Amino acid sequence: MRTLMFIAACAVVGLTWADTSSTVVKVYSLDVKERVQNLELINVTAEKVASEEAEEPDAELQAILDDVETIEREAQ
Amino acid sequence: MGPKRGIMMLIASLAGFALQPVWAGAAYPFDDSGYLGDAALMPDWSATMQRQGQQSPDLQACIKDAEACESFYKGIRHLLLKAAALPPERQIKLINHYVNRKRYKYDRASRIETPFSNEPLKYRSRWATVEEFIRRGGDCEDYATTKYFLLRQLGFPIDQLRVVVTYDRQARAHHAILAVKRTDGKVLLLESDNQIRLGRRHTYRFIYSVNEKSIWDHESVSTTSRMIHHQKERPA
Repeated sequence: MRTLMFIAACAVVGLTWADTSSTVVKVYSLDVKERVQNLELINVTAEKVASEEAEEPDAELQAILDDVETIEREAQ
Repeated sequence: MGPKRGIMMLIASLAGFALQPVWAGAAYPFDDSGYLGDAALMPDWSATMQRQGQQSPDLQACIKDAEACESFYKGIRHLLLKAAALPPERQIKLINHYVNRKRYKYDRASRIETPFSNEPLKYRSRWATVEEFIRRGGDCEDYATTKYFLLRQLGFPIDQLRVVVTYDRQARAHHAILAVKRTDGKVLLLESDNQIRLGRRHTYRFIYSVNEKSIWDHESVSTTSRMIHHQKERPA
């Protein structure tokens, strides 16, 4: 038990040590243009369904959303 | 202290160090750390902003006069006029819900050559303007860019908004969200699943972000900063 507590304390020290809140010096192995081109090649695709944890819009916002939906349906 | 305990202490410390970004679910760094360069360096994003600029006069004309509205802008007109009367927090919520209702549509695979890979061809995302998204739907980065442009239309300043690309460890895919910095300094992450999170999500690794002015590279900062032991940045 004492050993476990000791390990946990060490982990906390490690986490604190790893905190990067202070300012840092940036080092890039690629030049900026190459890095930007690499970033732009990332294919961003994740699809998310509506979460049950998400807060529903209140009556006022819901009414606006419903009106917009009606207008868009009629405009098609 | 015996050697056994010393080794255990070392392993535990290293584990804590390595797990920190995963465990803590690092908050989105909405400051200038990781500044990479001007937004114009990113051709796709730059082209999207240019198209949005070209399409914007039609939207402005529509907002002023319903008769001038193209059919696909009529709903947006109502949305923006109603939203204009709301406080910022509710504008954010309204825009998030409105955009998330739209049809999800994967990018058409565009084949391009790249000098950074042995593979001759790659696919990449295409970023949509408001008009393109309203007419055709889009995938997650299009949800984020449309929220960005609609909030800009409502008067949110550039410096408060960023389209952020993350790697979602849960979905095992790259994902885009919109980050909005409130006037009190807190950061909201607008999700395409309708949630609005306060600054962080434990499954995200933030990769880069863009707004109309700049690009920030969050990955380089998070990896290299650990190796450089928190040296202070010298002013240029």
